[in-house]
Amino acid sequence: MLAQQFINAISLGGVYALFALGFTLIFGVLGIVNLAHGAVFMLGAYSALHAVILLRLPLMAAILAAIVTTGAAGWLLDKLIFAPLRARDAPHLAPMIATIGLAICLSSSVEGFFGAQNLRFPVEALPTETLSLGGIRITWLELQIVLLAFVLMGILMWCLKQTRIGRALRGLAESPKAAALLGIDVEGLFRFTSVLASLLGGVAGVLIALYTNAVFPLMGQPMLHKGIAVVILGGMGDIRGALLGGFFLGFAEVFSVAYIGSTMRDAVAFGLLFAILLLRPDGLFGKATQRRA
Amino acid sequence: MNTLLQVTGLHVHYGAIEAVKGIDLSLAQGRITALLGANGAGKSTTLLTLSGLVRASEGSIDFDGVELRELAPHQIVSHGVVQVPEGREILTTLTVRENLLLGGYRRHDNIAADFKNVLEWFPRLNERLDGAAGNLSGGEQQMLAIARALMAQPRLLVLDEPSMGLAPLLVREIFKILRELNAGGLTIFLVEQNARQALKIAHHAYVMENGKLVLSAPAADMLNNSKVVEAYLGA
Repeated sequence: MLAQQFINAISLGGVYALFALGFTLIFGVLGIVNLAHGAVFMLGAYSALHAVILLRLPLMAAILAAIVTTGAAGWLLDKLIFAPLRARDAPHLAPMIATIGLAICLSSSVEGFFGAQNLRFPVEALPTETLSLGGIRITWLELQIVLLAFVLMGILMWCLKQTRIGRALRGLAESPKAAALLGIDVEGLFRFTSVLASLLGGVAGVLIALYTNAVFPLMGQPMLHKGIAVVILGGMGDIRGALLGGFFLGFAEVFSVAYIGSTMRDAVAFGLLFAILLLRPDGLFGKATQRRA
Repeated sequence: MNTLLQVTGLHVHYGAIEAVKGIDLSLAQGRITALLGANGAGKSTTLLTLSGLVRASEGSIDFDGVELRELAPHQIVSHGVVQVPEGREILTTLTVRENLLLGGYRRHDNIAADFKNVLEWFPRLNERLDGAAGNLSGGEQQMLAIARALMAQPRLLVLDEPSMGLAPLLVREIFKILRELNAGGLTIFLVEQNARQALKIAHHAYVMENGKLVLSAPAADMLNNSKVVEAYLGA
């Protein structure tokens, strides 16, 4: 039983971490609280769903379709909203309000096109096999979700630490001025960050849609709240913090469902978050005022 | 003497305020040129404009036949104009090694040889390579900033107040290194409030006041004419 909950918590936490990574990347590098990240997450779920239903693509290809769609959304997000505001040196609140507006536009457009009802992946599209390991049951689907979330996070962490562009991203997160003087194409890297962060959010959207088998226009809202909580818990803009925060929330939710009751899930999870922030107002890692990726 | 960089009729505005009011200056290839003046004279603005971080409202910046005025900062670095900014702008959360590697960000050739070279210039960095750059002392950070700029293989090295906040002994060490780099053929453009130090290593100097150049003379002449130094530099 305990081991089973552990598996559940790891897979849910992995998806939360993936979502939070995108959110924290945009904050760390662009200095923007992107309140459209939940809508991009929703867009990812819809893209994969329709790739499966309309184009009859296999699941992995559908995830790829979601990556392409949300990556493109991230490109547009920077091109149409972040970049113009950057060029005008807009105060912090402007991009926040702009992204709230965008989130509402996106979810109502999706509702207009596809309706407000809850959509599901067709049963035959999902793997149903179950693996059994020493009493722990894990569905093939869950295993794929966990693996994909972990592989993506692993690649991202490795790239940030070890590659030329990863170094440039961390440099840019600390000081755009220094980055520009070092010959880093600051504008290009801002756009790249928006693409990368959005496609991470998009993949998280597909994974949650698969996990709960529910796709609806406002699915990004609760996720956005969780994402913000996770990122603040980890320390705004801190990558390790987002990972840890994501897993913390996954564990808190799964274990409160298992041992306290499913109606209390959010109350317990967010109560714990609140308690930790009382003890460490700047989050688990570093300072809330310090921007870093 | 070849001119490497020629600035003509440069005006820079911050909103309604004119910070640079039409200056002409030229940097001779292989020489050290100093730009002196009091706080707020427009020196840093001039340098930021050279690197493309601030946009000129009028004028031209000709670097060996290339017009820099409309280029993005990273393109200017690609042409070989590399700046060590005021306050050093060390990336404190990255290691010393990562800072140096980022210095060579735009280069596609092998940077290993230059990496070794700059560590020979600044042996102190060698011991701290994998520590966070934020843990370095002020002097070490200035050395890292210069070493990092050298990693870009500059044709023109621009420095904004390299002596700021450093103990006299360190200032002398930094200026000695700048002189040696210049002896190796590097063209240097140096902004300083520490006028005497700068004039000692410079070949030519300009004095800036309220956004205008008010004096242009060989550095040795300026150093010998104590009246000039007193009048313009208060030193």
